[in-house]
Amino acid sequence: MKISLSQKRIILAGFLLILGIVAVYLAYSTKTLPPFRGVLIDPPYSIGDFTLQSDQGDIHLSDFQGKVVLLYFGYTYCPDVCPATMADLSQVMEDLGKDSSKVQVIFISVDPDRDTPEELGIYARYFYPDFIGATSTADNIADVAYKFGVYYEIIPAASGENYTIDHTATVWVIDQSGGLYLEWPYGTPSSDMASDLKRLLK
Amino acid sequence: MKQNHKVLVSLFFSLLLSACAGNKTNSTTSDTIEIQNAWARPALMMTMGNDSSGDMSGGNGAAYMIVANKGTAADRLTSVEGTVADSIQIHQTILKDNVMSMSPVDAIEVPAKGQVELKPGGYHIMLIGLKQDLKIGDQIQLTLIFEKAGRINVDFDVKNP
Repeated sequence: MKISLSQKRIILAGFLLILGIVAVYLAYSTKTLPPFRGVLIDPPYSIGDFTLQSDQGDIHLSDFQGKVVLLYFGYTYCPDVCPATMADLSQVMEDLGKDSSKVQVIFISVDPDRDTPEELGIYARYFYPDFIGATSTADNIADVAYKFGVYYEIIPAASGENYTIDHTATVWVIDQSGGLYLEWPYGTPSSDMASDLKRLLK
Repeated sequence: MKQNHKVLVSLFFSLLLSACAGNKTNSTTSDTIEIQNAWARPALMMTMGNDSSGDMSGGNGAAYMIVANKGTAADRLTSVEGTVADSIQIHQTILKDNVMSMSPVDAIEVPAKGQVELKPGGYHIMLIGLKQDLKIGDQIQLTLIFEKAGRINVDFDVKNP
């Protein structure tokens, strides 16, 4: 069977039309995605696996592959910035609705002397039932913090027990395949975080 | 029976009224100092470990407010007292290069005809070693001590910001 020139033209025109529709669709669909509000790490930086201790046993970052993991380094004795951030993250989970099951928040203690896995569990779940609180040995915490460039330092107090800890107050966003994808500096509004997560979960 | 109803209805409305009044920002006034929007963050007592001293306290909280000075002279908030925690200090959070640090301050100066806000990420009243959980809906009383205005008792609502 022979295809005439005009038939070829029709096929070509049809092909171009479909290509055009696909191009417009792609352009439109990327345009409608809101820009990331956090600091984008492009390309995502592979963090590698690590292990911490929670009151439910050992946890590994790799346990959460397929979920977006939000990490925050802090300590339970911190009265101001840490609970403010945890309360914001709890609000983010509420905003996400059923998509919240695709996100895991982990609070990592930089205070292994005072925070036990049991206390961290109670502390984390106080903000949201699915939040995890974790700690480890001082050396392991230092190794994990180093991966993220997290700084922390114990500031001695007059009454020995009540020392405070200076620490980086960033929330770290790890994508579904273990890549560090975004940073949210302290004070990022919960609506911005929810917007970033909705985009990442698309 | 009808009388009872009337009593109930008026009781209901007076409760409603007082509830509305209570919903207004928590405000306490002395001659010169006015405290507005006094609130404390929900927090848990952390008493998991078996404390050998047997004291039931632990965990920290933070309280915030707006201090307005209507007077013509500057005043200073020098300390805060209360029974809710083992120790109460005035602290300041400083964020530098996204690193959070916190340190006690001697006093907070409130300029004449001016105001200072204690808020997350800035000045706060730090409640060290909580003797009770701070639950949403609770109220805690603290006594603010000013250099000039003296002692002012303030009720802080426990709530999320």
